[in-house]
Amino acid sequence: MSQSLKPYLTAVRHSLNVALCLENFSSQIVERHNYPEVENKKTTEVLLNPMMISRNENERVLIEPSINSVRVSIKIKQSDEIESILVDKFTRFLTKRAENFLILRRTPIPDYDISFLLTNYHNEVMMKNKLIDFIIEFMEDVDKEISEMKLFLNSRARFVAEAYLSVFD
Amino acid sequence: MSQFIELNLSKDPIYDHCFSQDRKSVAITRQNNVEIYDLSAAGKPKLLTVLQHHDKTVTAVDISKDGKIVTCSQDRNALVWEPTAGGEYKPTLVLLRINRAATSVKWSPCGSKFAVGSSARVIAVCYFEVENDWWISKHIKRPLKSTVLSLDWHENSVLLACGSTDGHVRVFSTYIKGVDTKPPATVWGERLPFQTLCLDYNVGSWVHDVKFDPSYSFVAAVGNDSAVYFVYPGPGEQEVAGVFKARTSYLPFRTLIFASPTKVVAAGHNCHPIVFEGDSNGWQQTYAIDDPATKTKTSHESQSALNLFRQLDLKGSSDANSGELLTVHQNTINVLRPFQADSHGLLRFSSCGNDGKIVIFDV
Amino acid sequence: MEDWRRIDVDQYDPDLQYEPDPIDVPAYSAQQLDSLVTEIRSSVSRGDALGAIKLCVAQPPYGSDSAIKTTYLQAVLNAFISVRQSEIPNIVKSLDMDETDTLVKLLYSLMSIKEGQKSGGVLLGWFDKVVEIVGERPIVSYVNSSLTL
Repeated sequence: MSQSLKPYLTAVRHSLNVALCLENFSSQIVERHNYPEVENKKTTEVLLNPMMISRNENERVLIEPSINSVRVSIKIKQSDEIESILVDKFTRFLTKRAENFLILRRTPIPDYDISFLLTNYHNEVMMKNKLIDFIIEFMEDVDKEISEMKLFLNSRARFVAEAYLSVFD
Repeated sequence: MSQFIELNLSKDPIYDHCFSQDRKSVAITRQNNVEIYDLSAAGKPKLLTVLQHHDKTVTAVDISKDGKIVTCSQDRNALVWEPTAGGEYKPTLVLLRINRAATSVKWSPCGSKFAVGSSARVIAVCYFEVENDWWISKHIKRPLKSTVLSLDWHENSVLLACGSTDGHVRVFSTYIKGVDTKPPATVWGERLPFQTLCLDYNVGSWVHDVKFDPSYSFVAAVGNDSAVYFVYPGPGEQEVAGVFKARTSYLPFRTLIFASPTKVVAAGHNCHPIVFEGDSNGWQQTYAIDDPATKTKTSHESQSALNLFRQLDLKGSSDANSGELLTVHQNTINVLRPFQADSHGLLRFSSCGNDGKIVIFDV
Repeated sequence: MEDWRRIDVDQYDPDLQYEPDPIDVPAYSAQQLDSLVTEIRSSVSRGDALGAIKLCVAQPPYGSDSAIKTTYLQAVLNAFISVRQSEIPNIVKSLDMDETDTLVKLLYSLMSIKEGQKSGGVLLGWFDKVVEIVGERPIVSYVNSSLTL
């Protein structure tokens, strides 16, 4: 675990802890509706200032809080083309299964790789600290996962190349 | 230091609760219904009856001094439930005339009126019209700019304090000719026709709760910025004589009550109540009830040093089993209500939370 | 009017408009900003880290245009970077409540611009220390604040 990851995750943890102070709030605009205000953004007074936490230019988290929902978007580190392909495949795999994931958003918001949408219902049926733990764990596992996949891909590519080129040996 | 009684009543969040006058039963909100539990018998609380009529989440419930229950819901309606001889309740629909969710409801101390706050940026002040045998309402509109989150009555049943998401604490007159007797002059003003604005103060963040102090000479409010505000009215019209802001390092509060004119209890996303003390010279936080800092985890044996460091490294937290909270409430506290008082002030108060618990604390 | 079905009619409903209360926002002219930036810079070069940070958090130009804000943030960033890691706790401890609130606000603002993201590590180091010393209060105050950079 690198030195700079810890302050990054600590910052995200504390920001999430503050953002996840939600309540049941029904729409002021549409009758008998109750939707995440952060997705609609029409009732400006119930939105709070967004929090951007960046580790470097290509790794950051955007937390957009509102009165009844929080949107957490993560930009995963992509230092080369292979990594961007892997991140794309990985997040596609997850978002396709968003139904079973409860807090996962089906599409990430622009400029980010994956987005979560947490509402007051999640906050009520699940423990807040577990929700935060989950996101933090996800953030650090995704890094590990991607670099493992990259290693695996490289060794596989080497093996394929060897097998292919051995014909001309 | 303090004792508490814990009641596990529901698996769903409890948005509001209210004890009956004799403290033998409690009404709680549960999704689209209100459930009434009997607490007089020893052992488990017994479910007496379920008030079913709303078709959206019930947001608030209140019981008047003569036993009438009023409920309001996100389905835009409020219902008055009158107890019948058989122990059941008969609902009467209130003509609220609002087109958005109702968020909060409070009986006036006299029991002949109640106020409903709503997302329609309106407060409906409701009273019973004998000729037509129904509850009708008058609206307070201006200058509310956003959802009304909380309401509190003055003892004269005319003045009403409200807090809203536009960040304002306001005090209105709800004087209705023919229903109210003309109230004597107070610090809040003398001539009080309906919808007179007596106080307007901008807190700067959503006002989750507002309360009059026991002497009805000032109001306290909790903002979403984790502070408690104390607003004193001045002699002039809508004049603010002084404001004290007690800042804390807790997460935002959702609710507050006065324990005495010099003592306030606030609770919210920190899951345990905090006490503030002061007077017109200033207010500050003094102690916490059910403070997690004074408790220790029970499962220390299973935790090795290796595990601790691993947690610290992996999650940026040294909290080894961050599962259960150390407080009684396991989730946000939504509402505090006074439970038992004597001549010196409040002795015990009750709280309800998103974890489906009602807890009665000693002050 | 080709796509009239997609017009958001709610935005023309006067009842649905929300106008926040007018607040006093401090704004700077280019000249005032220049002198402030020079002051911060000279504090930094003198090695007066606390003085530089105090200047940064005293009164940020919330009401100015984005060019002025960027110049200001750049100067603040330089001040943050110049402070040694070991000095941070002492500086944070000698700031009052409002100053720490502003400090965290500046950190969030810096992390949302390109220049600040390049030195994300330094900013996160500051953030870590502030939260460790004063808790989450500045974060709560930041999300609720109507004054932003």
